[in-house]
Amino acid sequence: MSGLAGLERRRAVSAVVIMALAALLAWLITPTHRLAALHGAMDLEAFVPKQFGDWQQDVSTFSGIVNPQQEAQLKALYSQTLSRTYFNSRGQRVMLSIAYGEDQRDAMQLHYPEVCYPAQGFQLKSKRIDTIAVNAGQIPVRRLETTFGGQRYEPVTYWTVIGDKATLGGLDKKLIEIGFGMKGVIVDGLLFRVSSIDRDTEAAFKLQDVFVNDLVSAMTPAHRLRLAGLPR
Amino acid sequence: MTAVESPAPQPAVSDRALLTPWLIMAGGLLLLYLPTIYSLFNGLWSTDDQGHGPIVLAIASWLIYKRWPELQSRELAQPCPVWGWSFLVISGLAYALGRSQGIWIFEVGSAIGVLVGIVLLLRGARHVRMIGFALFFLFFMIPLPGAVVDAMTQPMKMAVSYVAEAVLYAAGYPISRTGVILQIGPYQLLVADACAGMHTLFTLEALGLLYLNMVKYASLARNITLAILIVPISFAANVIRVIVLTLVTFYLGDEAGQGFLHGFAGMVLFMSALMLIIGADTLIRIVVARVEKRRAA
Repeated sequence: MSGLAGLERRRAVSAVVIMALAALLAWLITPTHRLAALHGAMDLEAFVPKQFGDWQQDVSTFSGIVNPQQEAQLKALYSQTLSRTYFNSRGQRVMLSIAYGEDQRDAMQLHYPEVCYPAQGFQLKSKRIDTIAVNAGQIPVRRLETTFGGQRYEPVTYWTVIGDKATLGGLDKKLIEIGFGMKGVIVDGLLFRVSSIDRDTEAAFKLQDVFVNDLVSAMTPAHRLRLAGLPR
Repeated sequence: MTAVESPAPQPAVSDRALLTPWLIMAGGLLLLYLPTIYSLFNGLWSTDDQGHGPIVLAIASWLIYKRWPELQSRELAQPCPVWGWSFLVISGLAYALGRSQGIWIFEVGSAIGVLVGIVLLLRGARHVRMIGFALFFLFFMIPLPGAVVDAMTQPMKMAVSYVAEAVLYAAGYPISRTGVILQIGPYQLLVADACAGMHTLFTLEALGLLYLNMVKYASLARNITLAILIVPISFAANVIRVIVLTLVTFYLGDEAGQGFLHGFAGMVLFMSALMLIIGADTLIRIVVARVEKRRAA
C-alpha cells in the first residue's frame, strides 16, 4: 500500500512540475509591448486628411452619435473613433467611419458591421468578399448591402487592419494576433468603414472605390500601412 | 473517550496517505487557475453576458465534491499514465498559449484537460467517467469569442424582441421596435446591448441539463424530449425577462431598469426557466402515465 502511495505522490509532484512549467511559459510569452507604443500613437483626427483630391469634409452635417447609451458603449470598446461625411464636386456624399482599439484580445474585439447593422434595425440583403485596387496595392474588403425600413439603402464597404495587416477577420485575424503576440507585441485593431446612401448598389460601390483610392493615395506611407495595411 | 472512538486514528493515517497526492495536485491547479479566476472576476464575469461563470464553477465543484468518496476510492482503479501525461502536457501548452495571448477558450478550456489528466494519473478512465457530467458542465464556463456568440444568438435576440414587442403591443402599451431596440414611452431599451452577446441560452441549456442530471430518469426518450424542450423554454424565459425589464423601465424609469432591477430580471429569467422546465417535465410525466394506463386497460 505504501508503495502505491509513494508512486502516487511522485506522480503528483511531477504533474505539479509540469503545471508550474506551463504557468512559467505563459508568463514568459505574455506580450508586454503595445504595437501602438512601437509605431507611435494613433491619431485618427490627424491621420485622415479633411480634404484630398476632389473630396472635402462636410462640416454642416453632424455625423456624431447622439444616443448617449450607444456612445458610452463605443467608448468602452474603442480607444478612438472617427466619423465624417465627405462630398465631391458633383455633390456625391460618402460616409467614413473608423474605429480603433489598442488591444484586440478577446474582451476588446472589433464589432463587425454585419452584426451591428441588423442589431440596429437595418436589414442585411447580401454580403460578399471583394478587393479594392488602389495605387499602392490591393485591399481585401467585405461588401454589404443594407437597407433600413425600405427607405434608406446603404451599401457598405469595410475592412479591418490588425497591427499592420489587412484581414477579413475570423481565424486569419486570430492567427495574425498570435503571430504578433509570440513576438511579444499586444496588437491593435482598426475597422475602416465606408458607406453611401444610394439605391444603385454597384454605382455606390464604384463611388466608394474612388473615394478609398483618393483617400489612401493622399495619406503618408506610414499612415497607409496602419489604416489600410498597405505595404510602405 | 469511548471505546468506539479509540481506533479512529488508525485509518486516519492511511486516509492522509490517500489524500496527499490529491492535495499536491490541487496546489498545481490553484497555481494555474487562481490567476485566471482573478482576471475573470475582474473582467468577463462582472459583465451581464458571462455572469453565470462563477455559478457554473461552483456547481461543477459541488458535483465533483459529491462524487468525492467514489473518486478517491482505489477500487477498480487503473491509472493510465501515458494518457494522463499527454492530457497534462497538451493542456499545459494550451494554457500557456491561451493565458499569454488572451484566448479564453484555451485558457479556461485547458482546466478540463488538466482535471482529466490528474484523474487518469491517480485513478484511471473509470473514475474520469464518474465526474464526466461535472467536466462536461465546465464547458459552459468557457467564454466563447464575442463574434461567435453574436452570430449564434443574433437570430434569437431578434425573435425575442419581436415576440416581446408583439405581446406588449397587444396589451396596449406604447411600444415600437427597430431591430433589437425597443422603444417604450419615452425610454429606449437595447435587448442585451445591440452588439454584445446574449449568453443566456447557454446558461439555460446548462441549467436544464443539470436538472436532467439531478432527477436521473431511466427513460432515454424522456431525457431527450426534455433536452430538446429546453430550447423553446429558454426562448420563452427570455421573452418573459425582456417583458419584465420593459415594464420595469416603463413604470419606474430608466434608472430602475438598468440598476438593481436589472439583476432582478436575471433572477426572473432563471426562476421562470426552472419553473417552465419542471412544468414541462410534470406534463410529460402525466402524459406517459396516462398512455401506460391506457395500454394496461
